[in-house]
Amino acid sequence: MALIYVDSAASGAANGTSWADAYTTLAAALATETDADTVWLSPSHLEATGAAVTLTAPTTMGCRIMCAADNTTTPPVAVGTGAIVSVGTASAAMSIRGFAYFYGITFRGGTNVSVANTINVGDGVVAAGQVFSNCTFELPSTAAVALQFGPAAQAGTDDVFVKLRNCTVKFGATTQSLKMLHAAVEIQGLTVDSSGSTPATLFAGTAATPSNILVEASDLSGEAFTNLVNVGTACYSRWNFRNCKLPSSISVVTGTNPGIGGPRVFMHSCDSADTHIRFAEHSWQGSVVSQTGTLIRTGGATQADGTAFSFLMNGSANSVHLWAPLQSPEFAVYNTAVGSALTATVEILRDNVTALKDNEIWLEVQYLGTSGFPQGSIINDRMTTVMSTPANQASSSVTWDTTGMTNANKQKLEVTFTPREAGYIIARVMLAANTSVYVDPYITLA
Amino acid sequence: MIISSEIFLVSPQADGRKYIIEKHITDSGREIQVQYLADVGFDFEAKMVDRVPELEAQIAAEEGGE
Repeated sequence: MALIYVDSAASGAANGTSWADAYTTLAAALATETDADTVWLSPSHLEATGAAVTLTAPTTMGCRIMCAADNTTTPPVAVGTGAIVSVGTASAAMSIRGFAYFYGITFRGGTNVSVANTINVGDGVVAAGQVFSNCTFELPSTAAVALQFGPAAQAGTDDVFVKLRNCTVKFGATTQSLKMLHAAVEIQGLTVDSSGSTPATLFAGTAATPSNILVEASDLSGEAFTNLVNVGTACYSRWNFRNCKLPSSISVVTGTNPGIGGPRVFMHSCDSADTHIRFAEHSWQGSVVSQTGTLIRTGGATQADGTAFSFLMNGSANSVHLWAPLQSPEFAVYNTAVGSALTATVEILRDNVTALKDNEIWLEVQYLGTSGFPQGSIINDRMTTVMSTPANQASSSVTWDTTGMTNANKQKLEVTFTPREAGYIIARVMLAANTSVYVDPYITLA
Repeated sequence: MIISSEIFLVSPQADGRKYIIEKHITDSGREIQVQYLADVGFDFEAKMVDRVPELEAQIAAEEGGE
């Protein structure tokens, strides 16, 4: 098991065999020791190359690149923080390639005002798998650069994975962001350094580079950014945010979603206030967000803590096609009654004197309709075909809070079906109209 | 260029905040929605006006292939 040492202050043989003979740059260590499995950086290590930095880790998982607690103990017995790998005064990128685990290192981009000064993690033209723990990424340039995840040249393979655990990011300009390029990215415990600049938009995708991103258990409130995700990139990406602290009054998405195959953003239990149920789901068709306090049905859906809520479905000019509606999140009820017809009812509310028709909103239910197998059956109360004549969905007399409405219009969506197996009955409301509707996500079975 | 802007929806929440939807229409007929959960006392009408130049810059960037 090779131990390799890196310390910018070392003045020995520069062969990495001890602290005294340490390499003076991490890039030199990785370039020479291609089979390195443990690289230790001094906590006082500070390299500023003044040129592009390419850190090429091995091509298989197993290498550890860690900041040591001190540069006197050999071999080190504890990890620490403080080591800085920096591009320095240059207009050049930092590229981190291959497979490695990083601990306690600050990666600092170039300081010149240049769009070249990106930091590219999970970079290269081969697969990459990188886990960063307790690391810091700094973008000191005031140019519109990014901390990028995935192959910057967009010519790499598809299997790029990057994980950030308890890492910090610091921005140097409002135009900077965390940018996804063709990678699976998991971010836990991210902190946005409040001593940096405030980006207008924290996350962004990149055209032609599909990505799958999870951000959870993070404090994103360090900088009062305006938008969480820029969805104005022509590519599919899936963004999941869970249990994060946010700045107040932000927009979850900004930019023009390119189309039905464009970015989808799912945000659950993220807020700037002490709430636990706020969610938002955004797609090309529109959004579905949580609604509490007002505009909820009496006796309707509640969260586990008893908080009553409804879905606020917001269609757009894109959600007007019968075959491509805005879809609500799924909601379900477990059913044990089989062999006889059931009617599932879901209540809706809109502030408009005109009733919604069955080509504009409908209920879709999936149930177990095949005896002997877990095969689902799907039924809806939509207009039958695109050539059918639309009809009003039924009016309803249930009680809703209608605060602020001038033409509260209550309707209900209903389907009747016969389950053949016990199991979950899963419902979704589909909206194919450029309007806003409140949905009680509670299935009444009768 | 944005030729009209409106507060399309104000949806009060349990803690006094309001869910806001702005709709902006461009001279090419495109609709842009901006949605956010506004803090108590937040001047969402003023924010909508302030946002117009930001959106126009964003539209210009998107049309420029950014």
